[in-house]
Amino acid sequence: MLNQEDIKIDLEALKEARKGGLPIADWRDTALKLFYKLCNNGEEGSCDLSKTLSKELAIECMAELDSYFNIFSFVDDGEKRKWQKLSSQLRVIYSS
Amino acid sequence: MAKTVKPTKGDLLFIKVKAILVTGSEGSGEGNIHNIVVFSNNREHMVIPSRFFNSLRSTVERVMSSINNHDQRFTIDTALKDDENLCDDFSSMGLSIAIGIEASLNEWKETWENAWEEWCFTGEVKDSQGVIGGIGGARAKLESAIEVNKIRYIMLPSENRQEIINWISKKEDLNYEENFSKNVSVSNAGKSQSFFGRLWSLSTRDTFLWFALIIWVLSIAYLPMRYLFWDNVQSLRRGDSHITINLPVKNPKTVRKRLLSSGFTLDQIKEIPLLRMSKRLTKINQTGRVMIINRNGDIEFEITNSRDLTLILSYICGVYIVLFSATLVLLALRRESVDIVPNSLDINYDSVRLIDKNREIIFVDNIKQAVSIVKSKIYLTSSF
Repeated sequence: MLNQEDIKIDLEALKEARKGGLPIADWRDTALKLFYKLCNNGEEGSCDLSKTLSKELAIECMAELDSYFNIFSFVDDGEKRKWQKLSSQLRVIYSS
Repeated sequence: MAKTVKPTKGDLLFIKVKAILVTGSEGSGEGNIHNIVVFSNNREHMVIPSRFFNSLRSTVERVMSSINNHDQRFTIDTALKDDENLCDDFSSMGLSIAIGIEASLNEWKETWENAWEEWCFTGEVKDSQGVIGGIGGARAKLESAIEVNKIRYIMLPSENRQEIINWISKKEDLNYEENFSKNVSVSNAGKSQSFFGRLWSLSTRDTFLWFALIIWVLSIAYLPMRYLFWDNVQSLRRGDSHITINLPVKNPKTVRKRLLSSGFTLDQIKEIPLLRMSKRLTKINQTGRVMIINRNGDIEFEITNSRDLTLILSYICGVYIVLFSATLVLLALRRESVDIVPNSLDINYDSVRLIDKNREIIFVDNIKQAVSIVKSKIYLTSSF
């Protein structure tokens, strides 16, 4: 089950890794950890992201993950599709 | 009937603005309306998608320079997707971003929350003074904006004015009228909250102020009880017939009347030797209070000093009432000056009204002018 505090911690770690620059692996690891945590929970029928994430958390996750995929691109089409789905969900949360 | 949900303070950090962009190749591009989100994040400027960051960074920095604010940071979601076929130039989104940032930083964001869907913008912020420059694809943008039902106001750069008027004049299905250097004819009366309305909204703004307001009401209730009805309260508590007199006694006749009205008989009052007592109490310069008690016909005196807790509390309540009231009044007066719509002389603008479509196309030269027009219009709309 998605926990807002966990997401906050992962998000802060991702921000630090991005600002830290090197090693790049840290940025990749923290970004993918947050990405898959949000994706997996978003796909579960029992977990509605809009009930778990605040608007602020949603837009910050969106900005950080978008920045990551812009630099590192996608591993495959599956990852890209997942991101497109997740980004749509996040956008709905903070722009509603 | 569905309830209108009042936006919370957190929601109001997410300002929405309609921006018009042209997608496709130059000359054959189509206008698209994007609901961009401007979020004040306090840390760093970010753009979604981030691949447009370099295109929009200078725009955001120019907007911040034009309003002389270099501390605040924003995340801007352009609502553009990676797979969209876009032109390379996003600078025309500048006016929308400027309005979003201004709304984020100012008092009118709550009013904007209810009005944003009626507005759309396009224009480039050319420099750090906030000058709005002309844009490409103006006709395609205008054409798309006219077709959106909810949009009533379309704001464009003045540099595109002649191009737009030429285009409209050729369209046979568009009935229009031009307005030159039009002032916003807005009367301030009735647009902002009344003074008492502002007082109420200030005093109930959050939990802390609600608590302060309740204490203020209790203080107001306590003061007359302490000074006018204290004997009655004491009688209720003690069960004896008595009165309390502040020392030194200044008016013995009043004391006599109060004793009579409190159930003391004339004989008892004569036995008290009230006048002599009063003179004595006046002479000895005793401060505090004396309680005269009728205990089954026997008269007793009980002198208490002026450090009585109920009296000290009444002083505190009095000071609190004055301070709280003065603070609220000052804040309400200050808010009134903020709410006042700028003088209409400062917001001249040219516009074209599409009569059948009920749309107004507004031409602007700079951010300050654009913001003034938006504020005037949304306050005018919200007053009806």
